[in-house]
Amino acid sequence: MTLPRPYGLLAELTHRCPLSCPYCSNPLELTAREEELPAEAWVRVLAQAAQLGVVQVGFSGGEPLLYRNLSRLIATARSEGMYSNLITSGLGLDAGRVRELRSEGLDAIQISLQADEATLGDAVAGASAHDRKLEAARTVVAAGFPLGLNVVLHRRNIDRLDAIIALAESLGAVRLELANTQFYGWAFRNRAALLPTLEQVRHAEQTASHHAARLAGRMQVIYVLPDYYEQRPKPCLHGWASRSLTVNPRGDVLPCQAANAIPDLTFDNVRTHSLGWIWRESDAFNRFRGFEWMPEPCRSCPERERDFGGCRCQAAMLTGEAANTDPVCELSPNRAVVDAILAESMTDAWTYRG
Amino acid sequence: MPADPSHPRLVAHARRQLDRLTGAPLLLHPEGAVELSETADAIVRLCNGTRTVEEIAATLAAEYDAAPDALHSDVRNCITELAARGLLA
Repeated sequence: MTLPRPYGLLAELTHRCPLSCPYCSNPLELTAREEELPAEAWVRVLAQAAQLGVVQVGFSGGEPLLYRNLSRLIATARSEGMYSNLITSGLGLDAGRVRELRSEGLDAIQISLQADEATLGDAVAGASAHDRKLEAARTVVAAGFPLGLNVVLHRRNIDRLDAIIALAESLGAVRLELANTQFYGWAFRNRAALLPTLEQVRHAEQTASHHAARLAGRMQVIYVLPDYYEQRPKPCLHGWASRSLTVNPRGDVLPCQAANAIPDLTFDNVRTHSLGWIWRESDAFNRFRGFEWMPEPCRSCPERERDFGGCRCQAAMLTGEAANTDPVCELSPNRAVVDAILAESMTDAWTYRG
Repeated sequence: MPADPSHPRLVAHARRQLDRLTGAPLLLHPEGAVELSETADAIVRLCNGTRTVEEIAATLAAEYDAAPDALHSDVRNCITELAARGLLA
């Protein structure tokens, strides 16, 4: 098999965040500030990523604006010819900061919203955040920056799509991602409080598709399905370690931001290895590349070329074995595990992320 | 389905760039990169927000010495696909 080259890098600069959203996909064990990778190491990582073929980098976290040398990293991404996207809560993003980031060469900004209005938004974020986010969004647009918005959907906000989309429209966003909660990290712990009902999901799908057509050419509306309710798994990462990689705040390199969910994988670190070596040689990257590792029913399934057996992290979390078919798949012998979660009694109580 | 743009242009958050490894034209966007074929690249470079799809097909036809009618559906399909991916509007 010829080794593919990565196109995208997710740079998780810090786990520190002013918000405490219960759907956070960060791991339960968050990296402390003292353990974060220093800027010099990130500069090296970005240069190595560009050499490997990476052309797009997402600066994320936690809240990437809390990372002291963010500007320098954005400048490095630009000088290495990479497209950069800042994935932020918006808190701390004032006009001066926007100008600074833009002059360093930042290409796009994506701000998260939790709802269409402050009471629910602040309750989800666990912080007084909603109005500050709107102000940040307006600042981004006023500076002539293309504004992306993303809203993680769950039981308490999914019925409010009309209002959420109207808000995004009034803010002048060019892109709105409506992503149903993916159950990893804190979100998995809080699933009984976050899972929408089937009725909610079907209704939301129709609403999103109606507005996507209405807004075509003005604002791109992307709706990410809640995969527990699907019959076939998502084509996770377009195949393990085939197109992208994640570097977390302490410098571990992961094929996927949720790969910590797989207990028997060990990750190599950019402090001791080059990104190129890790991409080619790291056991964590090679474990599920291609199709050889697949057990049945994936091994002989024609769908494997399309869905790659689904998500390895989800298989590990729900079946105890990462190589198993993603249990979302109706052909999986473990689909009952997902159905049992869907049948679990719901609660209104969630745990905010640490 | 979203309507096709009548005067297509590259969206503000997309950037065209040649790949450092292969030299191939790429459209970069917040979530990743799309590799363009030679034809798709020629089309994208004509999408300036003022030309119509017909004008783009005619310009390409003159450049490649082909019949505009033959090119028209290829140009239309390419623009539809890139618009569906949110890269042209």
